[in-house]
Amino acid sequence: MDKSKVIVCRCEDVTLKDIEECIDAGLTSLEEVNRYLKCSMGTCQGRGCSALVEALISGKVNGTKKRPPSIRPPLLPLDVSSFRDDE
Amino acid sequence: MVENKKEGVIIGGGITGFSLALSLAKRNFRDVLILEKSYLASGATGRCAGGIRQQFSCSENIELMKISYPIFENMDDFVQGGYLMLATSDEEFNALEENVSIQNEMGVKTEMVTPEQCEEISPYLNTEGIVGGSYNRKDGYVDPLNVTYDMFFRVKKMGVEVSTHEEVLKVDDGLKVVTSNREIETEKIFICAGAHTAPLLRSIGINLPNQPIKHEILVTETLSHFLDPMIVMMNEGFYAHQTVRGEIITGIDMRHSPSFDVSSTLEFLSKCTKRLSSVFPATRKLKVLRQWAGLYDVVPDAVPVVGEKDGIYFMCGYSGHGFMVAPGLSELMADHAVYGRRHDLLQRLDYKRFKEGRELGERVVIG
Repeated sequence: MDKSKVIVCRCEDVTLKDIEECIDAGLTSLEEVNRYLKCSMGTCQGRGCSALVEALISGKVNGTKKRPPSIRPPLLPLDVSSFRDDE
Repeated sequence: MVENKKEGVIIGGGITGFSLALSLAKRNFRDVLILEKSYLASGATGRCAGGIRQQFSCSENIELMKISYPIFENMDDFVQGGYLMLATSDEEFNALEENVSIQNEMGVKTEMVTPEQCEEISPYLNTEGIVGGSYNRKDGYVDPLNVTYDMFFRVKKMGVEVSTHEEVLKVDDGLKVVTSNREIETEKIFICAGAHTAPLLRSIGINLPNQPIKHEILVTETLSHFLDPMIVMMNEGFYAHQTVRGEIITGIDMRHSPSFDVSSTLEFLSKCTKRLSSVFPATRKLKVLRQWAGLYDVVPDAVPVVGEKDGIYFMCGYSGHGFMVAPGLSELMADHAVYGRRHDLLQRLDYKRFKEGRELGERVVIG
């Protein structure tokens, strides 16, 4: 399997190879991998890939602290003009 | 077995901790452990907008930025799109002019610009109500997470040890660091914990006037490149810039009261998006993807605070400018800690200035 052709985060085109290299380089938590590779920072905000990335980390790192990543508002994307009176 | 002796311990895995570790390692001081209570860059570093500017009003900040700049200019992804600071009243315009003359005197080439020039610099900007601004094309931004994580990879290769999810509970005068799992003996302690620095210093008898103030920020979906500079409105501390990824990162001052709380508010989302859509009408239909908050470690004069007492060194009080000043300040601190050479700037930034009536004063605090 060519790991550079397996897309894990579809919004940001992050591959399995990127993620494994990132973990091997010492970033061993979901927060760190996300922040370095920008997976889960695209349009879907991690709804697609977070569980996959987490599974990849727990497969490689012993004793990772499992906890859900913090959920940040807004829950759904929102127009910049949503709060304007003239909209 | 966990090793409990180190030549140096750095508390805080953000930009200050890693810049300092790099500066120390360059001076062959490498038997160092960095302690981070959460994940790397989980504090203010990973929450900031990443702006790098020399447009300050206080000469100490400008001097610090002159030391930091070459370090940022060596980074491949430092984007110098400029900072355009906008005035909507004569008073703000005059203040900008005053700042620019201080900057020019110190060799920083900021210029005053007319509303027409603002439009040329940023074609999508709504210049209604703008009386003018100051512009420095060398200012810019860099992704704070990439910078910090790259520093992490570098210091690890140089032999520095990094431990995450290990919280420092106490630092004592006997150069002992007590964490959630162990006690570590060391020769030098460096506290680089942002807003959490002042509370740690209390146990060694240093009381700083620092206050943690929440500042909020949001990011939109990506769109094609349309905005070069960081846009700053001097009233309400509004700023917006577009990253190389295409997203817009923007914030506005909410004047939150001192607290360690970093929760997001609906009031911010409403106020900031309203302002963004009037400054850049083209963004109206853009989607906001995420909002979050971080802490400014604020001191009365908004200039960094440093100090040393019996082998315990600290850097804090950045008042919102930590990411950009940390690399420069770390170089000075490393010279002090390793070679005993204390740069004159460290003297001026020393924490005793508050008690000795040597307060400085920075007016340009944004966000």
